Amino acid sequence: MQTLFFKIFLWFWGATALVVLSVFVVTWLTLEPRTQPSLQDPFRAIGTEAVRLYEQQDKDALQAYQAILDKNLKRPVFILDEDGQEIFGRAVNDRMKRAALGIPRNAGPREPPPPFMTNRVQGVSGHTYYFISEMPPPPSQIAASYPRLALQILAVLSSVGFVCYVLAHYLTAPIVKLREATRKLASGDLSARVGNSIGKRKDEVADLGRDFDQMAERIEALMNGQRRLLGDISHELRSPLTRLNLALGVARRQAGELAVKSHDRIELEAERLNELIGQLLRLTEMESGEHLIKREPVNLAELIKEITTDADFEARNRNRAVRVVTAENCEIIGDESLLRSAIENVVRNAIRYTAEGTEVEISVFRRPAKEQLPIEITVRDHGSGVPEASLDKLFRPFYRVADARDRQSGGAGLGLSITERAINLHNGTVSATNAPNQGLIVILRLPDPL
Amino acid sequence: MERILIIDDDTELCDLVTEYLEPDGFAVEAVNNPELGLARGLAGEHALIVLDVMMPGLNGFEVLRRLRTNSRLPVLMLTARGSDVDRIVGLELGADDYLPKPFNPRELVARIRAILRRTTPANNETSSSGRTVVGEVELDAGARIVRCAGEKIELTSAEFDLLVILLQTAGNVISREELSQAVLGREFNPLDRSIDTHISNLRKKLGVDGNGLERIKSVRGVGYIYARPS
Repeated sequence: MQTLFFKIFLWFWGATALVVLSVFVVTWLTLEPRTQPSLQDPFRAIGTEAVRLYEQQDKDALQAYQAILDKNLKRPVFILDEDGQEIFGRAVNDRMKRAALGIPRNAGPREPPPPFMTNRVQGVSGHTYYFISEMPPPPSQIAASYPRLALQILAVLSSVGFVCYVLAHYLTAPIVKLREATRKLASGDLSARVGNSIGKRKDEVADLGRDFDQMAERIEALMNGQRRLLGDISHELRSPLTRLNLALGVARRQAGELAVKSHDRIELEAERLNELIGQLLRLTEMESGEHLIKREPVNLAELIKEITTDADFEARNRNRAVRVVTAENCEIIGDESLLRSAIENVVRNAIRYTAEGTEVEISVFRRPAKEQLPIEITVRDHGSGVPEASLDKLFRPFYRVADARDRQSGGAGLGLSITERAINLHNGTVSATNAPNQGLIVILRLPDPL
Repeated sequence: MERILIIDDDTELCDLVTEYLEPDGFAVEAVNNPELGLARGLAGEHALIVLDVMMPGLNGFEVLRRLRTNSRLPVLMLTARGSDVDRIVGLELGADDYLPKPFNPRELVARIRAILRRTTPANNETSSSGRTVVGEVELDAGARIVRCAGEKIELTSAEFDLLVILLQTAGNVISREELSQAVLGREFNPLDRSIDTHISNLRKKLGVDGNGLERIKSVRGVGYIYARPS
C-alpha cells in the first residue's frame, strides 16, 4: 500500500487517533482528585445537621438520622466523641479512628491517603465530634466502564477514520485524474486533457491541472504543426522536384548529345534528393508511432528469397552478388512491406560496402526456443568492416563512419535507421558486429509469433 | 495528334508537361481548376486525362469519381510518392494507371503511350482476335464489350485488357510479370500492387461463378489463373 491515498489516510488517522487517546488517558489520570471535594462538601453538611440533632434533641433523633445516612451512603457513618468513642458503641477499627482524630500516620510519605472521609464538627455546647465514613468506591464509571470506554474510543476512531478517508480522497483524487491524463498523453493521445474532471477546485492541484492542460495544448499544437509540416514537405519539396525533372527532360531534348553527362548527373542528384525526402518522411512517420503496422503472417524465408533475387540483379551490374545461405521456414506476424524495406535497406547497404567480386550472404533461421527473440536474420558483407567504436552508432540517422572513402559510396544515411525503427515496431532488435575475417554482419532479431 | 487533358493546380508544372509532351506528338490542354477540368473531361474531346490527386477544393479522387459516372475516358493519376492509399483508392475508383510524383518525364510519356495503345482500337493487337467466350463470360475485343450471363459490364481499359489476357489463357497460370508487361506496358515491381488492385476490381465486377467460387484465382507467389468452368 504505497499509494499517496493510503499514506495520507494512515498518517492523518494515526495522528488524530493518538491525540484522542492521549486526551482519554489524561482525563482518566486526573479524574480521582477531582471527585473528592464534591463528596466532602455534603459530608460536612451532614455532620453539622447530625450534631444539631444530637445536642438539641436526643440520641434517638440522631440514631434515626444516622439510619437514613447509613442507608443512603450504603456504608456506615461513625460518629466519635472527643475521647474517640463511637456514640452508639459500634466498633471502629484503629486505622479509621486515627484518621478521624487526625492522628498522623507513622507511614512513609509514599503511602496513599486513607480511603476515608472525615469531618470534625464543633457543637453549640462546645463538644467536638468526629465523623468518619469509608470513601465511596471511586467514581464507579472508571471500574465499571471499561467496555463503554472501548466503545467510545472505537466510535471516535471510526468517525475520525471516515473524515480522514474523505480528506485523503479529496487530496488524491485529482492527482489520480492528472496521472491518467499524463499517461494518455505519453502514449500518444495528444487530445488528453484534465479539464473539468477535477471539479471546481481552486487550489494548487487544480492549478497544476490547468498547467498540464496548457502544456498538453502546446504539445499538441507543436506535434500537429510538425506533422503538417512533414506533409507539406512531401508536397512542397516534391513539386519543385517534379518540375526540375520535367525541365531536365526539356533541356535534354534541346541540348541533344551535348551535356549528356551533366544532365545524367542532375537526374541522379534529383533522384537522390527525392529518395532522401521519402526516407525522411518514412522515418518520421514510423517514429511518431503513427504508422499503424499491419498484423498478418509473413513468411520470412520467401521474403528473403524475393529480396535476394531483386538485389542480386542489381549487384550483378556492379560485379557483386547476393546469395541466400540459410533460409529456414520462419513465419512471423507483421507488416510485410515494412519488413521488406527493413531487410532491403540492410542488403543495399551491404552491396554498397562489399568488396568487388564478393558475395553478400543472407540467412534466416530460428535459434533455440529458449532465446527471447528466437528468429534471426543476418546479412554479412565482405567489405572492410566498421571500427568497433562505431558499431552501435550505425543505426543513427545520417551517421557516417569517420572514413573519407565512405562519402563516395552515396546513400542518404537513413536506410539503417529505417531498418531499426521498422524492426523495433515488430518488437525486435538490430545489432551489428564485425566478422572474424573482414566484413560486417548486421543481425535482426524478431520475436516468435507463438 | 492525340489530345491530352492535364488537370493540375500547379500552373508551372502544366507548362512544363505541355512543353515536354508536344514534341512527342501530343496536343496538351492544361486546366488548373478541378471543376473546370472535370467539365472539359466530360466534353469527350480528349484521348486521355492526366489527373493530379492533391488539389485544393475538389480533389483528384472526387474528379475521377464524378468522371467515371459518365465517361470511360482513360485516366492517369499523379499521386504522392509512398502513399499506398492514394494509389489503391485511385485504381479502385477506376483510374487506368498511376504515376507517383516526382516522376521522370520519359516515364510519363511511356505510361501515356501504354494506356493509349490499349484504348485505341486501331492499334490494339487483341482487337483482331474477335469474340472470346469462357463459360458465362463473353468478350468482344473489337467492340470492347464484356457481357457476363448476358449482362453488359462496364470495365476500365486496364481491367478490359487484363480480362482479355486471362480469358485467352484460361486454365493456365499467368504470372504477374507477364500481366504487368502486357497490360501496363512496364516491368513488374513487387512493391507495385496495381495488377492486384485491377484483378480485385475485376472480381467485384464479374461476381462469382455458378458454384459461388471466384472466377479469377490467385496462385500465391506466382500470379493468377482464370478458372475454366468444369
